[in-house]
Amino acid sequence: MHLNEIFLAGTANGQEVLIAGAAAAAAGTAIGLYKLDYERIPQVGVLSSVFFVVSLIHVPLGPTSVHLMLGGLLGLVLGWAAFPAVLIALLLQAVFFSMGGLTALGINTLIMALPGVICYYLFRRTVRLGNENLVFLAGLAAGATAILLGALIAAGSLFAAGKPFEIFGQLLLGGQLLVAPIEGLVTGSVVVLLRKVRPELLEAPLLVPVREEVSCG
Amino acid sequence: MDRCLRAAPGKCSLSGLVIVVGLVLGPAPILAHGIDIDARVRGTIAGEVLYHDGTPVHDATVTASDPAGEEIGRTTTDRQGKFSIEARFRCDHHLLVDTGDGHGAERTIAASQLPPGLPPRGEVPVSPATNDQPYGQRPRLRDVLSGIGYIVGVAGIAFYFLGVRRRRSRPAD
Repeated sequence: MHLNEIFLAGTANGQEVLIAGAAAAAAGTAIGLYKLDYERIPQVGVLSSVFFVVSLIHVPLGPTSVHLMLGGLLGLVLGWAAFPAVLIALLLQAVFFSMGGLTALGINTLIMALPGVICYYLFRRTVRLGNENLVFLAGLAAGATAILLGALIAAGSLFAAGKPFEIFGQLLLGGQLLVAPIEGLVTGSVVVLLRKVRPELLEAPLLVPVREEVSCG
Repeated sequence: MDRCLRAAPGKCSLSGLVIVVGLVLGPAPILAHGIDIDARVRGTIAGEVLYHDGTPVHDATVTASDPAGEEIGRTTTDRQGKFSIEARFRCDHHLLVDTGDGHGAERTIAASQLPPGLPPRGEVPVSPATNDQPYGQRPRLRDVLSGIGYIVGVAGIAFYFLGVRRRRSRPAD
């Protein structure tokens, strides 16, 4: 959900939202860059690219169409570095495809990166457990939570921007409720796969499937 | 790579005049496949007025009216017969050329040819709150690859700067 800058820039409250969003995103990005490790740069680049591409794949859902966000996945793998990753991807989307807009870059970055960071703190320990089902559930929860938090921030921004935007805030919340389970399933699956193939991305040990004891005789 | 949005040059001629209209999104020094790089959604209807044999018609008045007939723009063609009218609303623009000596021509620019961010005529702007759909053309593979290329580039720059920081913090071994 890229908030449209033209829509928000029309009112004074909307402009305040844009400015506040930009400031918060700048702070988040600064923290992300400060904590960025030399070795993690390739992962940041890869996930930024994934985020960039995934928002372009629209899946029709009834009257509208939705797209994955993968904010939860970004948060789990990158932590605070999700901010610069999302910022770069959104900047390129705004430049190449006019999705969202440059003045709304800050608030959109906040909407998509902050939930990821929150999910990082909430679920990173669970994601490192040895039980595959728990790992999947943690990924699912992270994905769904990131979508819902993002929707809350976006809807909150729209509400804060004033009366004419409230209806859109409600529509947005409703729409994202549909996306949340899908995104949760995708994130859960990806997280389990990462634990089995590239556990270092999650800073976790390799997930080995538990062999069930089969008693013979 | 001239991918800027130009309406198919239509030659609608009435009583000896020809209008060729192009649609330019601007102002923008760089056009990335027709989309304004700073994402300002302004539309300018630009075109030229020519006689049938191609001679430009200068100092002709071009007026743009909305579907209700109200005038929403007016300008005069320059020495090369060129004119540009800023489209402030997303409605059909009915262009009428009047040379003052009896010659006239008209053409209608449909609202769908104008950028979607413009407010509709006479109403509270209802452009969508969220802008998930890339407007203009669908994202092409080359645009996606370009974006990824930029990300790789930025990652490279980050490698450089973090490498400098690393070398500085590491005492000489």
